[in-house]
Amino acid sequence: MAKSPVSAVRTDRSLGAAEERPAPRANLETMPSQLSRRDFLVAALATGATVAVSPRLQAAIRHVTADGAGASEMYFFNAARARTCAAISARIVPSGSDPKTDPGATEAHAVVFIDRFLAAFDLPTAVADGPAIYIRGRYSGRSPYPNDATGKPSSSSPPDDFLHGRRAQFIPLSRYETLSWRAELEGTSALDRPPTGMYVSKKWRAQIGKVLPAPVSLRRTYADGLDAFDAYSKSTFGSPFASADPSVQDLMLEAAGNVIVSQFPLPSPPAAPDAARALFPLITIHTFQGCYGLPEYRWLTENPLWQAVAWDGDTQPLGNSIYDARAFGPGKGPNAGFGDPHVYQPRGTYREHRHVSGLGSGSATTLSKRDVAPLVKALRAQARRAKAARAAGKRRR
Amino acid sequence: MKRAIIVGSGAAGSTVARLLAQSGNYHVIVLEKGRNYFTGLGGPTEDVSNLFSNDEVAYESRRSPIEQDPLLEPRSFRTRPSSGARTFVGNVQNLPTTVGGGTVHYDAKARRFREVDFITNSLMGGTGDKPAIPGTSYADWPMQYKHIEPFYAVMEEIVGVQGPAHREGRKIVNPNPYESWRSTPYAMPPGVAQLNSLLPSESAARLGYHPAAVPTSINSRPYRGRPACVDCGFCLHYGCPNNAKGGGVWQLQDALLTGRTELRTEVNVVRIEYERARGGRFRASGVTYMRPDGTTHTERADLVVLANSPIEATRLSMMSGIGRAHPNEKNIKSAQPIDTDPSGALGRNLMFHLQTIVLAIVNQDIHSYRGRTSTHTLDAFVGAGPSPKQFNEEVLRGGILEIGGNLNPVVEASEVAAFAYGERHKAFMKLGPFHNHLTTFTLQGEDMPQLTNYVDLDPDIVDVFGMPIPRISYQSHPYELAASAFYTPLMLEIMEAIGGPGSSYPKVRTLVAAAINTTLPPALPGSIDAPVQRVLSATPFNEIPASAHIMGTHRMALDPSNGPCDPYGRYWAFDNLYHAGGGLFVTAPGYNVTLTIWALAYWVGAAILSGTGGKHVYKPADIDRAHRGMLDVIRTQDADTMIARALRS
Repeated sequence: MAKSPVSAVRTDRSLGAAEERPAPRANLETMPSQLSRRDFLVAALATGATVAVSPRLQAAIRHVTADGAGASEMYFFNAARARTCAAISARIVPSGSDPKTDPGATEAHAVVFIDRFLAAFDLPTAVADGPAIYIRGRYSGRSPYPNDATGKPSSSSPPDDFLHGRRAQFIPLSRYETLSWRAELEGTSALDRPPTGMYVSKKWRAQIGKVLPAPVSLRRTYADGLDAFDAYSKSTFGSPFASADPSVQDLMLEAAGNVIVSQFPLPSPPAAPDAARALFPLITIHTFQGCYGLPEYRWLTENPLWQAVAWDGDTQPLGNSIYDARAFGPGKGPNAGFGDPHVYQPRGTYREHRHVSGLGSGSATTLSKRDVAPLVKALRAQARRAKAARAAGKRRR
Repeated sequence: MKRAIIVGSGAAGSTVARLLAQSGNYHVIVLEKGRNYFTGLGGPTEDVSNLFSNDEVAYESRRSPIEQDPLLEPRSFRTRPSSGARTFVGNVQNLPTTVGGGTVHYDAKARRFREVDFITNSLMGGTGDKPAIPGTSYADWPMQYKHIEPFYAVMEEIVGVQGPAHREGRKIVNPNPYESWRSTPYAMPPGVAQLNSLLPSESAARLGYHPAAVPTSINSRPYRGRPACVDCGFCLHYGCPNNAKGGGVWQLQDALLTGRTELRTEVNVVRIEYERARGGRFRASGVTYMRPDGTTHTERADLVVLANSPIEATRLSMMSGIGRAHPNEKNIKSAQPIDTDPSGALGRNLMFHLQTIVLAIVNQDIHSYRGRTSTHTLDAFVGAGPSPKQFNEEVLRGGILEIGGNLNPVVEASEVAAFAYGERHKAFMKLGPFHNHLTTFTLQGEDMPQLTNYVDLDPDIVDVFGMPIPRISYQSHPYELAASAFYTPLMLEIMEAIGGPGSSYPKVRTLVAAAINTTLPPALPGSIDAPVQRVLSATPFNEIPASAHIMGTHRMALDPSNGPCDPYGRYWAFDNLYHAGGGLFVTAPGYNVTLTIWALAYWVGAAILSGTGGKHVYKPADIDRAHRGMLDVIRTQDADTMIARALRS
């Protein structure tokens, strides 16, 4: 079964270049209120007046730059970069008007996810038991064991394999994987400092940057990109990125990613710097990972965004269906006629703990055609582009 | 005691290792390039654990811990030599590199081929010299379904396959009418059905088709010391935390429990050692492998089996001077024999499956993310059959439809990001089109074998170990493109008929259904018809094939001019060098490959143990005559299985 239905052409998992789209143009007749607000903002910023940072973002900024022990310590970002990163993530996955019921990247501490991934090899042993790349299984402890004798959840849960107090547990990396992830995080220089005991062919090394692509340092891309967003914000709007108004931040992200972030299209600012454009696809996917991935990647034990999107999260060891050994004997009920009567005769049956085969009572989200209209549009656009690309290919031949 | 080296610990390698070790005649050394994520192998099966978890960031968003790094170990790709030395470098059909291989993270569909699939060429009027389909090297398999059937049956029991065919009295009753006859029921009944597989199955049934529960190598009951599946929902791409997923690692476990098997991990085999023997033949004497620190070690053996997947087995052979590492590109339409490969076809006839995907978003919340990835199948589009009586060559051969599928939220967010960020992203994630409302068909389209689709060694690029990387040259044949175009509207019809008044799900309906194909080429061959062009040219494409079904490089044949391996997987010019795996496939019928890989691995192991094979050329009668000796291996080695009892009676 293939992995990615909609966006067609990816052979790696990082977000490719966002599709080219002309910058949105404001309509003077239909959105006067938006324009006048924006004009006011621009005017205010140009005169040096600062726009108030929302109290929630303020609290989050304090949280991420706190000194001393705590889940919010930064291990790669300096204070300014942490603020910018948190602010960008907060626009990619914004919080709702009530963040408790409608959380976003701020509540998910996405900046902690990103910072600790970039600092994966530098985290102190009190924080991580090894390079912070792959959480070590098997269980979070959020689900109990099944009770096979009764077909019901048992009353005992496994311990949390992922997080012990403040210390997260990771799969130890082999020498090969250490080289691989250091190259990802640090770039080409890591290839010249392989881990002890890892052979690196000189001929292979000489191909890097020629027939093989040179790895781009994620750490460098973030440092330069976040600094570039700040410089861009200061020179265009007169304030650091994190203190700019969200609608202004959206303008800058649209310019960097060339996709629509905000609800309403606004006039576009000057072109974003290259370093900001290089950062945008990466910070997007890392924000998604931080928001919707295991909370232990952020040194937390709950992920409120899972509930917000009606998804169960990790479910092992309980899963969604529980075997009930008493339900039927060998060769009876759903086991009739299967297996080897002498050896492996099946017995028992399943109890569904959560709806798997049935619709469930009163489903939460019922979609209409209008809800999926943007998806339909995207699919049609992809089909049109495929057709055009093929036609162009044919003409060339 | 003889020594056997098995390169690769996936489905094929582990099965051969198990047979050889259990026979008592061999000390087996299994060499695995990847890491071991299981703990306690070789001890009691109930105590074997692993490091896997329901972690979408690790297994679906980042490069998975069980996969090779495409920079450290790249592969190169082009469609044809005329495109240049290569047009892409990176991940090309990479399979997991880890103890257990691809079966660690597959979603475990376990399908047999049908009677007709072994003899399709002659059913269509083709011969050995004149394939029935022009522009291909289409051919019959050297054995028939009746020969391989007991091996399918024994592996279904050893692995533990759930499925709908069962005993009623003395007969085997199969609710799936598209399958061929069976000698045994499945080892376990089907597990829990998932709603997003049931919905298209129900509409297909209303349209007159016959969907059925899909045979799957996942425990639906406690089996052989491992628990039943809990339908945790993290199946395809994920290692199974509670070990309910059947896989090569459990055959490896059986081999280790004999005390006559050694597993060495993180060793990279770089050369097959061999000498000239009498009569222009060769004899393998062992292999040389490289450790992570670059030091090498040569291990001697009496028998070498390459079970490291078709592309890697081809590459390793070519690095060792077996077969042509750099075939003459001007003559690429022909096989190019050489003393170590008298067929000249090692690495050629590379086949994937052309996977046509139709997705549908439905209005109701159908929790697509729960359950095994796919619990039902519709085999109607695989081509006319299952028996020769029913064959009709005018029915295009497509493939089975896998029914189900889902995305998890990190990957869903990335898909949604193509058209929505910020508030619109949030709104869409709450609607959850891809985790809550999705159902899909994946048609595993039969690929035509072509000599011009092949693996060789890239002339310039090496990997981090300094070894030449494999280069894949591959382009779809008009046949599979036509089949994809033909069946796409039929798949859309089934999706659009989901639910509605008069169905079992009256409140459910499809909001949008669309076809995409992640493996269509950007440039369609000029020779396909206009209606086909119309459907295909509007379908988004990906030039780089990504089916993870890889076949054909080590085609079995009755004589050396038609394929690099004999009917028992032996390299023709070698006494003791074998391939076990998808490379042996002669054609690529539209079914998932793993169960046939398993059956052929047992077949190869049984041939070795019974002394079957070793001829320079075979007739079909030779396959019949040798069959009894092969079945004796099942009768003695796996005496406690249903099929061994059936063979005895």
